Order: sequence, then C-alpha cells, then structure tokens
Amino acid sequence: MIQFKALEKKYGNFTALHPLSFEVKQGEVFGFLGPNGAGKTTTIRMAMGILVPTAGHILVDGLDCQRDQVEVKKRIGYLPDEPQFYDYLKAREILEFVGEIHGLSRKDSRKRSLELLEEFGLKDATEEFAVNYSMGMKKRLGLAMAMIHQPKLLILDEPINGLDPRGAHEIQNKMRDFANQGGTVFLSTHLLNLAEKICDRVCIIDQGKMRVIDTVENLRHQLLPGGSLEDIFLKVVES
Amino acid sequence: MLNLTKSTSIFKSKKKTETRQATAARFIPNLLMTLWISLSMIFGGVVFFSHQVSSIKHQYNPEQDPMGFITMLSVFLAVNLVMGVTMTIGMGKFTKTEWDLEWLTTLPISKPVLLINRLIERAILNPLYLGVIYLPIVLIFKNAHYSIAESLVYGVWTAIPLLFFASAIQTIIDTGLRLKMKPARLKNLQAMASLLSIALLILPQLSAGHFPPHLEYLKNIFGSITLILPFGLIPKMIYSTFPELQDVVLTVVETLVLIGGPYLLLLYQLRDGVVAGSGELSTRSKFIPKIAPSFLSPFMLREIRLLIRDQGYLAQTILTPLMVLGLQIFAVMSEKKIFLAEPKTVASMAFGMAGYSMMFSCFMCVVAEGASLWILYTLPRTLKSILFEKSFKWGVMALLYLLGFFTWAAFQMPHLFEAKSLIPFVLAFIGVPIFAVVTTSLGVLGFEGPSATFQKKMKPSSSYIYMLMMASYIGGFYLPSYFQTFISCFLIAMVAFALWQKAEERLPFLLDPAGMPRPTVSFGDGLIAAQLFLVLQSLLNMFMTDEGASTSGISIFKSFFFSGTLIWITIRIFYWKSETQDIPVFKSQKPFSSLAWGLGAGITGAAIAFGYMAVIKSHGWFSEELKTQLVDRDHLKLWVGVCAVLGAPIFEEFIFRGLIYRGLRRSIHPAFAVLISSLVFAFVHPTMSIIPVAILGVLTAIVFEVTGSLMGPMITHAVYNFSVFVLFPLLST
Repeated sequence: MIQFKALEKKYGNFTALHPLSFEVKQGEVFGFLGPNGAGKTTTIRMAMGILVPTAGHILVDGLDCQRDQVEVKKRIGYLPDEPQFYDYLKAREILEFVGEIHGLSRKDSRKRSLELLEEFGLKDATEEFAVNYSMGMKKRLGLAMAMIHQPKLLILDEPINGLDPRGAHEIQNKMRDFANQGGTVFLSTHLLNLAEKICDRVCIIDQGKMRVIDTVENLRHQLLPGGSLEDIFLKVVES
Repeated sequence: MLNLTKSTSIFKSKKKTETRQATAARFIPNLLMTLWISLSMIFGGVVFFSHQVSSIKHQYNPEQDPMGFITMLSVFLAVNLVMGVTMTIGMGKFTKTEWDLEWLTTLPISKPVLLINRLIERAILNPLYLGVIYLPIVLIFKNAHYSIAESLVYGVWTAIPLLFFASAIQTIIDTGLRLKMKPARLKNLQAMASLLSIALLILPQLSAGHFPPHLEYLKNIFGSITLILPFGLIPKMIYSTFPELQDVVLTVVETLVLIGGPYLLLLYQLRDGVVAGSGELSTRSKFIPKIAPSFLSPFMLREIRLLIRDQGYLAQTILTPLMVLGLQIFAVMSEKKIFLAEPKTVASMAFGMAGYSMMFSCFMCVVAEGASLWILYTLPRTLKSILFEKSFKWGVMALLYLLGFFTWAAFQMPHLFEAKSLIPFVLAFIGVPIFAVVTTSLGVLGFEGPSATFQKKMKPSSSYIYMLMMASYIGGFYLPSYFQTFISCFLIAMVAFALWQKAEERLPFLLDPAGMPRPTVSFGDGLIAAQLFLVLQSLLNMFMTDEGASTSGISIFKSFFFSGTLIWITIRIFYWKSETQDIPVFKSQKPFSSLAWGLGAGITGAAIAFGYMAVIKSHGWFSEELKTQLVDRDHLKLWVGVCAVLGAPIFEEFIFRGLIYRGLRRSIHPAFAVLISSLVFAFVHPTMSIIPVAILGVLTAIVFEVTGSLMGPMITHAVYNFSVFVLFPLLST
C-alpha cells in the first residue's frame, strides 16, 4: 500500500531523515514509533505534500506522493497531531466542504457528514463552531474528516494525544475496524501501549534513522524475550 | 532577486541560532531603519495635521468667527482622540489569547497602583496617541504663532488631559470587553474599530476643514458638547492672550473627572478579579439549514459563510475597500469637473480602487486559511488551483468595484463614455486580472507560516512594490500614444508573470521554506536587470550632459558601458551569494558550432533588417526618427556604433537571453519563451526598430537554446548591429 523508497530530508547540513526504505501492506495497522524529534511527523508530512523530500519517494498504491498528489489524496485520509479548524465554520459545514471537494455531491456530502458526526459521538455538537470543540472532539472531527471520502489509507499523527481514556478507546476501535474492513492505518505515536495493543507491525526510528521494523512479537523474541514494547523501544533507542 | 520571502523555517529547532556578531551587525541597520520610519511618520503627521489646521483656519477666520474657529478645532481634537482610540483598539492586541493583565495581577502590586501605571503607560508611551493628540496640539500652538520650542513644551502640559482621557477610554473598553468575551468574538469588534478609524482618518481630510452646508447642524451639536470639554477649552486657551481662570479651573476639574471616573469604573470592573471572558461564540442549535444551491462551489460557499460570520474578514476584504470607494465618491462629488474631466482620470481612479481592494483580498488568499491551512493539503486539489479559484473570486469582486465607479461616473458625466475614449476603461479592466496575479503572488511570497492571521497586512516592501507597479500601470494611461500604452501594460503584465513564476516555485515549499532548493535564474531577475540597465543609463546620461545641451557620443558610450558593467557585476555577486544555479555562461562547449550558428543567425537578421529599412525608407515611414539618426555631432555615430557592436551584444544578451529567456524557459514552452523574450527585448527599443529587433530577439533566443551558451547569441547580435549601424549607413551613402 505504501512504499518508502530511500526517503530523505535535509535542511542544509542537518539531516532530519536519513534514507528510509520500507513498505506497509494493505490491511495493516502499522505503528511508526520514535522519541520526540525522531522524524515521524517529518515523514508523515512528506507523504501529505506538506514537506518536500530532499531525495527518495513515497508511493501510495504505486502513485508518487509528490508527483501525483491529487490522485494520492483521493486515497488518503489524514489526521495531524493538533488539528485546527476554521473559527467560524460549524463541524457539519467543515465535513460537507471536505466531502464535496472529494467528489461527493452536496446532498451526499450532507448525508455522510451527519452519519459520521453521529458515528463519532458529535451529533449534539453538529451545529457547533469547531473552534469551540475540546481537543478530544477536534480529534474525532478530524478523524471523521479523514474518513468522509472512504479512503484506503489513514495516516494518523498522534491520534490519541490529549484524549481521555474513553476517547482514546473509541479512536482505537475505529482504527481497528477500519483495518478489519480492508483499510490500512499508518499510525505515528510515542504511546507504546497503544502501539502494542493495536499495531500489526511497528517501525522504530530514532534521530532520523530506522532502527527496527517487525511485528511486536518478533521484536520481543529477537531483542528482549518477555519484555514489553516499551522495554524493547528503550533498548533499541539507547543502544 | 525578487527576495520577498523571509527565510523563516517553521522548524525553528533545526535552524542555527544567530551569532552575537550577526545580531550586533544587524543592530545599526535596524536602528537606522527604525529612525527612518519614525522620522517619516512624524513628517507625515506634521504635514497631514498642519493641512487640517490650516484648512480650518481658512474656513473659519479666527478674527471674524472666533467661536466657529474654536468649535471646529474642538471637533478636530475630539475626532483625533476617537480616531486614536479606535486605531489602537483596531490593532487588536486585546484579542490575543494571552492577556497581560491576567498575569500582571499575580505580581505583588496592588490593583490601584497597577491600574494607574497602566493608564500612565498607555497615555504617554503609545506613539499613536502622541501622533494624533500631542502633535496636533503642538501644531495648534504653532498656528497661534508660538515658537517651535514653546509649542513643544506647552503642548506637553496641554495634551496631558486628552492623552489620559484617551488612555482611560481605551482601557475601559478593552478591559471590559476582555472580561466579557472570548478573543474570537473580540476580533469582530476589532475589525469594526479599525474601519471606523479609517473613516475618521479620511473624512476630515475630505471635508477640507468645514462641514458641508447641509450638515452644518452637526457642527452646532458637536460644538456645543466639545466646547465645554477639554477639546474646546484647550484651543480656546491657546488662542487667548491670557487664558481665563474659569477655563483653566474647568479644564483641571474635568481632567480629574475624565480620568478619575474611568479609573473608578476600572476598579469596579475588576472587583471580582481578572479572568478572561468565557462567553462563547456558541450555537448548539438543533436546526440544520437547507442545502445550499449547487451553483455555489464548495470554496465559494465556505467563503460566504466566513464573510458573514467573521466581521474582521468581511471588514478587511470587502468593507474597507467599499468604504474607500464611498469616501472617494464623496470627495469627487464636490469637485466633479476636475476628477471626472477625462476618461483617463476616471479609469485611473477606478483602477486604483480595484487595485487597492485586491491588496486586502487576493493578497490574503493563503494567509486567510490561518492555522487550518493543513486542511488544503488533504484535499485532492493542487494548491495552485485553489489559489486560482480564490483570487479569481476576489478579482471579480474588484471588477465590481470598477464597474460601480464607472456606472456612477457615467451618470455624472455621460460624455466620458463615448466609443473613441473607451481604451482607458478597457485597460483598467485588463489591469484587474494582471494585478490579481500580482497580489496573489505577493501573498504567497510573503507568507510567513500558518500562525499568521488574516489581519496581517502586506509587508511594507510588498506594499511599495505593489504601489509602484500600480502607479506604473496607471502612468501608462497617460503616455502619448496608444502603442506606448500597450507596451507599458505588456511590460507590467510580464512583471506580474515573473512574480507568479516565483510564487509558483514557492508553493510546494509553503510550509517548508527551509527545504527550498537553491534558486535558479528567473524571469523576474532579467526584468529587474533590464529595468536597472535602462534607468541607470538614462541617469548617467543626464548627469554627464549639461542642462540644455544634447547628449554627446562619449557620454552615451560611458553610460552604456558603465551601467552594463555595474549590472553584470551586481548580478554575479548576487547570484554568488545566493548560490543561484544555472547562471548563463559565455564559454561554449562547442565553440565552432556556436560561431557557425551565431554568424548564420546574424547574417539572416541583418538581411531582414536591410529589407525592413529599405521598405520604411521607400514608404517614408518613421521619417522623423530617421532624421534624428542622420545627425552626427561629436562623433555621435562612432560612439553609438561602438556601443552597438561591442557593448550591446555583451550586456543585452546577458540580460535578455541569459536571464529573461532562460528564466522564462524554466516554466513555459520554448516557443513561448522565445516569443515573450523577443517582445520584451523589442519593446525597450525605439518604435521604428521594434520589428527587426523582435526578429533579432527570436534568432538570438534560438541560437542560445541550441548552443547552450551566450557566445552564439552575442555573435549574432554583434553581426546584426554591425550591419545595421555600420554597414547599412555606409552602403546607403
């Protein structure tokens, strides 16, 4: 589903991301882990076209994220770490706007927006201005926005940061359901218990370099039998 | 070279911290810049307010109508005070999420002391208040024949009541509002205050110091209020030989009341502590409106919603230009015969308004997205197409302003709109899309990150460039011939295209400015170089030629070579510093091929030029221009010939092929690049030679494209110029 081919990002003499190559299969929940400043958000932003790679490519369904941006965006739903919305638009209006740009008719976009708002527990706040939403509500709205066009791939940057346990649990269930229905989730987080719970495979990066990539079970077996993902992570990062 | 972008990275942790030496090195230039701006503003204020005071004195003679004079001065001071308060509120500091008073009250300072200090600070340290209150009072003193020193000193004491009054009003308003409302709601009020301040700034100037006759009753109403307040008491005391005791006592008492009252009100406002407002911009309505009509695109629908709800956005993009339009009509109405005298003036004013409106609308296309800019990156549309849609919409709005003004002018002076005089109006219409491109490009180039709010205006450097371009475009309306006007408009359109080229390169790196690759030669670089080359030549010629005398051949030679060399060196240094790639070179990897191509194209061009000159001579076209060419004094022809054969091929090929053509070639098809570069090249030459020079431009561009170096085009140009400037005259004689 996604292929990272020698992806690199430099700022002058500073290398934010060393050449990174790996693949994410369709139907996986893939955890992209690393400490703060490791390069996780940089990688995700390059996939979304927010940043431009210095070298290498990201392919989604065989399409280059830089060259074929428009086609790629049809297949991706994206949730940033701190989603901000227009001060003077209501949640429903934002969803309708995004839905229409993704090709839904105005009527279908309205229907789908209301369905998603209900599904994500935002029915009572449908006509509320998104700026008044709590962080948890914003994350849910952002996730609804990412899914309005039924993408094949969800790219989520720290999706449960700042959420209460119930909100975090709901988001986790959504991710798992999405993958069970054939979608792919590319999840960036530094919350290792989340990754351990729901990710099929994980990749740990540190200081812009990939350290390990495998299932949690295999990593445990190879690196630290009986250890938790947190222990494995610390061992990898500190080695 | 169009260095309008700040090299700010959104990833600040990755940027090197500036060294102390670098900071120190920037201190003096920053200090000089601050001094320059301050002095300019003071000078501007003196001129602006002096004019108003003089107008009032002209309308109401102090000897014949002292009451009318003092009344108008009192209104003048009152309007200035309100303007100062609304401008300060319009700047929006009180809409920021972090409120300084919240943390100030955590300090071990009592509330009364804190408030008094706040009032004092705002009264004497706000440069805006000093400019609109203290400065006019100084000018009133000066107008009353006090010396400058006396005016400055007495002005301090006399301005204190009004300064503190302004400070008190501002503090009550922003503190009270801040306690009640959330910052988002306050932005709307800020926008309204900003609009009001603009009206208060412009209206007095337009009224020329008097109330229109049908509004004279307003003067009486305002006058009766302001006369008994410090606004009237102060000018009354200034113009009295000996101020009356009652006026002095009244001023002191009223000052104490005007400051003490608000102070007590502030204490009351803060009786429960300092907690920012939590009143929400909320609508938990269950009512879902009907689906909007489908002819409105999603972006259009979004913009309409934002405009209706966000008064700041509405004020910035629509109301301010509308207000300027209204005020312009108001100003023109009293002097219709002057302002609506001819089509060019009407077209200039209308275009000026449309262009002004786009400074606030098209410029904001990217900035208006604010922190929600990330949403655009999730959509299956390119940023370019989104920008195009937004700026198209605002361009249409600007056209409506244009049409509005034309419609009004047509009713006032129908004769203006006869068929033969429609060209300026057509040019004004054409100018709108051109300048929509300019403002959108400037908006992209000046973008400083998603945290910038839509209230952010154009940077001064961008404003100057924009105003200069607008002035150049409007100047084109007044050129002697329509052909020259067309050339002027064409060149401005080329500058707009050059700006867009830069903006288009910036777009992929909008949120990644530190990731921008090394720059390459751009079309804009070439246009700037060409303009500088021509302007520098003219200036040098002017300096070297005595007043009233004709330009000599040697001064043409000197100015040509000096300006060409200077431009070449400047560009090379600039490119070296900015690590620009793809710089044009003279040296060819296939010198014999370049020589062959150069000679072949040169001979072809010369043959075409010979044929052209034979035709124009036989038909008697351009006879006046040809006559001047035949004059030879001070070996004029010799020096011109040297410039043409040696200088022009070097400098002009570097600029027009090396920079302009190469810059165009990066973003458009070679055929279009050849066409546009040759037209630009031709249009900067005399009218008589436009056609053969355009053909020369095509030939040299082709040679440059084929050979890849400047050697070939330089040979072509040298051969052509030798033929035209040396061979043809010899053969003719």
